[in-house]
Amino acid sequence: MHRLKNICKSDLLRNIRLWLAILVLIIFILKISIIPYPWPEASPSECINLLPEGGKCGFIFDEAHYIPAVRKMLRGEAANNEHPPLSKFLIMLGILVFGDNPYGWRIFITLSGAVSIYLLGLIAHEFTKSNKLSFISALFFAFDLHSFNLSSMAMLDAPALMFALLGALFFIRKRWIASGVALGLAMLSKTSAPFVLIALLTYDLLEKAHEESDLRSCLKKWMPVLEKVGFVAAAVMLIGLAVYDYNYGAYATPFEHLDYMLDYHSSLTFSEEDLVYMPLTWTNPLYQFPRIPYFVISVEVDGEKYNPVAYYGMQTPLWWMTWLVVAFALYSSYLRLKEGGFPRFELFILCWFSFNYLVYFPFAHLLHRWVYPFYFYMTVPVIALGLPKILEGDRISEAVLYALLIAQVAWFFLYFPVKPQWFIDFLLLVHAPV
Amino acid sequence: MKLDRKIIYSAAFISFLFSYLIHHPLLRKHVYSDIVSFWFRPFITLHEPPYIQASFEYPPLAGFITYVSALMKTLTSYYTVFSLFLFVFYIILIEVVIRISSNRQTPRELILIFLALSPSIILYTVYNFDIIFASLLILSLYLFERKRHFLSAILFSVAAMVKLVNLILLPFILMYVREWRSRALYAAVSLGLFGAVNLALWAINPKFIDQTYLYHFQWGLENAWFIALFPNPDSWNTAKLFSAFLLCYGLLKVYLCDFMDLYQRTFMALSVFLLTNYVFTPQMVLWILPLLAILGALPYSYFALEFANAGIILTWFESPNPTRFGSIPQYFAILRGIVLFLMIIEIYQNSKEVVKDASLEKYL
Repeated sequence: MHRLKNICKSDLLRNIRLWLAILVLIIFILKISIIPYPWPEASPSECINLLPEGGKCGFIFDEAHYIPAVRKMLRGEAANNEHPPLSKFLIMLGILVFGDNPYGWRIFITLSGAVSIYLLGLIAHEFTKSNKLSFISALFFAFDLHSFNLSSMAMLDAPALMFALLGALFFIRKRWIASGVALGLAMLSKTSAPFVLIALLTYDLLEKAHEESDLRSCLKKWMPVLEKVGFVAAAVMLIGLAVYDYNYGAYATPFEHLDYMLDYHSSLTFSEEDLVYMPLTWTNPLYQFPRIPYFVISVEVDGEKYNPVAYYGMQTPLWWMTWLVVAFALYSSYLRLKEGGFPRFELFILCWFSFNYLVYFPFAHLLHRWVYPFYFYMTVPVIALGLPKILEGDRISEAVLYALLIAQVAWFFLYFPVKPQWFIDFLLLVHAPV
Repeated sequence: MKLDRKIIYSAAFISFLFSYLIHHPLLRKHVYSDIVSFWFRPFITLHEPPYIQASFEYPPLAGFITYVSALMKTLTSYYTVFSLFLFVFYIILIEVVIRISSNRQTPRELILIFLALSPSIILYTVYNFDIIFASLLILSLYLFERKRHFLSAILFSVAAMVKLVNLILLPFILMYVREWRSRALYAAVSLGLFGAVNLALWAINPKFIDQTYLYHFQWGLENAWFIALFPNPDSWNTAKLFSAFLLCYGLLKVYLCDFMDLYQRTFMALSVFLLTNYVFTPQMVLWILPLLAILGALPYSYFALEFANAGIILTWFESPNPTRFGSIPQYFAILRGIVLFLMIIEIYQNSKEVVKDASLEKYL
């Protein structure tokens, strides 16, 4: 008994890194366990140009773009140039190591998704210095179903977020060059990653503005950060693109490649008759976008219809808390500024939120650019970061926090994309949606 | 021994004459100039006032000078009257630079080199409005230094009516005005006069802003070094974004620098503009030559800059497609960009070492 008490009090168990690592391991195991679902029926060569109908290629959602592109890249052809290549190189690496099958396609993306949880926990710890709050933040994110689904597919988002969070962690620790390198890798993974860079630089500019009395001295202190982080990130991205362009003979210079990406992404506009889930529907619990089936297999056994494999794009309880977190961050910032302090944590959340979510409002409403609910994946970490902080303190709010966490975890398992038969039977027994 | 100003004037006069002659339209193989090309525009032959009845892509004073010159009936007389305008401003420039150099005790030989013997002066003085702009700007700075702020602001405004680029210099000049009230007054006068003239023209012709200013956004890359990064003309919209970013960054760096005096800062700001803008026509080098004379520096890079800058126009009409990457003028433009960058670094380092007492305090 005494020894058990000692273990409980030991530094080992107080080590947030250990807890985060355990959480990451659990999520990683869960992810690995579902990788083979769906498994392709068609051969890789049949699934490069014209894909056979009926999901025979085993692709989930936009994997139908990226995996064929990677297969072309493996043949030495430049493909899918509208997106930066790093995430695709990770998919390629998986294929080279584990073969051209779902394990190969998804393993490194899955790993990126799991590592993001660890990084978010560390970021939370940087701000709150609380093991409990940091771990709860990581839990919220780890059990965010949509994030889990998206980071289990061979898509670009999970590596982009992982590098972005790594960049943010270095940024908070004022390790500018390292932050620039990580953010450059994020930008080399997905075109939306520059928003993270802008958010972080804005955050730092606000901090400097608070420290300095006039604009000139504020800018003077901020410029080295811009140079060390922004320019290094840009350099990493350009070098990466140059390597790709040179190897595949895609573009004469990486700048021309950038031009193509910008052109392509600004041409993705919708018209009046198109059905678009506008950004507010991503976070509004009362007026949500409908559940989007990324990949669903339906079966009927003994008159019971259910979906043993169902990857959905959908809101989670954490997403419903978005505006609460934002309102809290705004109010708390106001109070902190009134006291003469600098609201580091709150402004970090607000800057990230503004440039990774609010930015899509003008894009969608003014520029009519296509937007998709899965873009919210880049914002989910800061909601997970803010929510525990709001509800820490008195017992009632903590009870609400734990209730929300339970709801988040329950939601996760209820809509877990690949369910074992015993779990399906149980859900059917209790008349839960399957 | 101080160089006699008569020598400078004589050299300047000969340079100008040379410039006048090599561009003269009656010369069988004259060197191209924008001035002569204006003559063949319909509004000149029809005697229509620019901005009101016809479009002209230069600011109002430039159009006015062109219009007045075009009142002459023949191309030769038009060219000569235009050249006379340029000559007057050129002489004013020489005189003002001599005075500033005397105050700063910088060698007069440099005025001779930069403002009389430079190939750019010979090739591009009787060419476009750049010498007028340079003259008005330097005069404005000179008056500012002499604490005649009101006159300086008026001339600043007039300079902007020749070249819009002048407006980017306003924040840099305002840095040297101590009180907020004086700052506001300087800004109000310099922007007010410019704004009033432009507003009046806009009221008369609602297309004026489009035709005169926004027109330039349609231009592609012209002699910008970063054509090497954007060789395909289809990518030039992104090149312009790149240019805008570099410009903002460069100007911010100049703004935040502590140890520069007014002329150094003006030189740096204009050089940054030239280096980062997507259009860097060779005559624009005239903007920085007087400032180099004032700064009293003869950077090594100057010689290469002049070589490349002269090379652009001298090979322009020999190249079938001179604006495309891979043409000889564009190689000269890239070389010029590299050299100008080195010059900026050189001047920056020099200003750090030499101008120890030239902090903002001197002006305040």
